[in-house]
Amino acid sequence: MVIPITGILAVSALLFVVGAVALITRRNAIAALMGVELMLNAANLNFVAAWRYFWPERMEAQVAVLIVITVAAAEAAVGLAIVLNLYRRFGTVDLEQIRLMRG
Amino acid sequence: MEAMTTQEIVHYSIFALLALVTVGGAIKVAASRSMIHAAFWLFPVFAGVAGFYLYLGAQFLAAIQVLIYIGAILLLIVFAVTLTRNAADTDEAQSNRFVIPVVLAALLLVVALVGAAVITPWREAGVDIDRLLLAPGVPVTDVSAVGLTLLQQYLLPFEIASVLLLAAMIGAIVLARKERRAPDEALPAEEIMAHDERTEAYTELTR
Repeated sequence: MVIPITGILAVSALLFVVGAVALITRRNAIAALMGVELMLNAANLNFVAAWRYFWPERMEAQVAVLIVITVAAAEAAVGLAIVLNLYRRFGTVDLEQIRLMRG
Repeated sequence: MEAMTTQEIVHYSIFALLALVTVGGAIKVAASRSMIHAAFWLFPVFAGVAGFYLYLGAQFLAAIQVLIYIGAILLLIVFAVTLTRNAADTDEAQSNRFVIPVVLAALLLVVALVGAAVITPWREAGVDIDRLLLAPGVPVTDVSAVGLTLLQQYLLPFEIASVLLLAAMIGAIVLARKERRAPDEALPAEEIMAHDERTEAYTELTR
């Protein structure tokens, strides 16, 4: 009678795509990591929507979201540590200028 | 079309507000020139997603979202932004040369994803039709059920996640630590030789 699942899925799709655009186009490495966080949030929102509309009596989706949040925290910590290391070594976090592994 | 009931108006208003805050904040994150602005625009995104969790009845996940994303990850990102040089001080473009094709492809992807959600025959797929639309009054998450599922059925992924967190913690400390040379140990060979020569010259001078 109120919000159909399509509405939640549309919001999550927009969030995911905006995150992907940020990941691909931003030159600042930290901004690219922000894009990854947006995409993970979109995936979690999809999990919760599927749980709520289809299987509200089972808790697998919430367990999956908890584990995704854990992995996202680990990813942010290691990713930002790598970015700080890059900044210390190259004096910049511009992904266009750091071409150590590009050949 | 019959008039909307008060309940429907409230539900649509909550949904519209949360969607606006979340998607609008995400667009500002992707488009802000200033890195610190982009970092702070993450706040409405994370808060909006937490609001969606609350709205959908997952109140435990909403609390976790506020704790981990807003409390920890956002703070970490703000710290990283302030520790690195702000590239917005320069006049350089903030995006690389792919920006126009990527935005076009992204629009196509949005159309494809939303279209797939719209045309999927949820009802024919065997989904209970009463659950397809979020009805008010359905009980919220039983948090103890989440805990039991996590620690009984999914104990192994839970333990793997904790080991992963430990590894990430140690890795982040090792990566972000300032390199500090131990005396005499980590010095390159030439520096040690130069040091020895200087020492010899000094001892000859003072002899």
